[in-house]
Amino acid sequence: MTQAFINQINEYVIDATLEASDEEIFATIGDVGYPSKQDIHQARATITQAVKEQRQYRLFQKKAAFQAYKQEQKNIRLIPLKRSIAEMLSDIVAAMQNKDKVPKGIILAFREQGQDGSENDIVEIWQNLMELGLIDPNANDTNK
Amino acid sequence: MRFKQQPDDILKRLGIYEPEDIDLDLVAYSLNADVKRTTLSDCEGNIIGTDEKAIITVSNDADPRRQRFSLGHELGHWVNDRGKNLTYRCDTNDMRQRNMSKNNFRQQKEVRANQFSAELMMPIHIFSRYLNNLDITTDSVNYLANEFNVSRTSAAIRFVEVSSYPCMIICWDKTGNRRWFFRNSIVPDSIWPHIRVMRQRDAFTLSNSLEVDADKWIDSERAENHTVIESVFSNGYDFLSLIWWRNEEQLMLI
Repeated sequence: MTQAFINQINEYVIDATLEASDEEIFATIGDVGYPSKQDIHQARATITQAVKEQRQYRLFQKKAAFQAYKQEQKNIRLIPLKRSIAEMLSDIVAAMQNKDKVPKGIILAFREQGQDGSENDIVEIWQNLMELGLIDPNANDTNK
Repeated sequence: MRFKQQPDDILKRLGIYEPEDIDLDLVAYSLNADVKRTTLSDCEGNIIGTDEKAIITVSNDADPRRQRFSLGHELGHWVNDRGKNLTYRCDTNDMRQRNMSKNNFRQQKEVRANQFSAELMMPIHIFSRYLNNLDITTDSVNYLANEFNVSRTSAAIRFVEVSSYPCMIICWDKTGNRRWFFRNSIVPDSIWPHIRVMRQRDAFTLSNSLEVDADKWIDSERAENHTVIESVFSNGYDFLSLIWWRNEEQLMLI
């Protein structure tokens, strides 16, 4: 049983509890020696608020990570490319040899977005392959 | 429909419980897919993926709500069809596929991607909260489309799908030919809309919760003895008639 599975079960229990009416919860637990309707209502409100805050915090964290990633990607694109067009073409050709990893029709798909095989087109394909992890931009640096 | 990951689970993991928080770029990021927007000449979106990462490109010429749907569709491919070699180029026709064809595997994947997109943009854990006491009308469709930032057609289909009332949506071209229809699980499979409506001018008069004879839309000799509640609206290209049965007993008699 993984942590993710347990978390998922917790989510389901939380959802089921939150969706139940006060009357339904009350009917389930009875009334002898148990909290009053008002106690249940209050507890539910407190739990609901805590769960809501936790969800908002989770979303906030994900959004922050996404913003940081976008900035990182922007910065990468702003760095003047160290490689010449000829070297990029060579990288692309080398990447295409890796038939186990390169998706079929990749060049056709990239070209469709490009500008008729222009230099910009080559740079775009190179960057896409790099983003997919099929080209290592620093691979040849150690050889220089 | 089952997916390899359920759209509402993906959103819950991110902490998304409100319609305005459904940011599909954020969803893509969480699934390790980059999103680009550019001009695409003959498709609405495409995806290229290795076994770990994908790049999704969406046509930025399309209406923003259309772009959202396309992104959701490509995410559907990424979640359900990923493998060593993932490349899909999806055009308008692919994005319209709703009914699975038994012998067309590729088409089945497009239907699944469309359903995934709809459920991602209108997830059940959020959408169902908005359906409380909502009548099946054009006004309700407009309301849902605005709340969830989706097209009126998408909102109407999803509305019918999850509604607890027996209802159906039918799409007609301007000449009165039926393009497609969708009935929810409460409506028996034996109930079919006309293939073509007569007197389109009258039939396609815009309406909002109007009681009419069922035979206006339903192809059955006995339909003339019953009524349905119709709401007719246009999506700019086609006409859509949203109908529901106030009296469920009539469904057994048609």
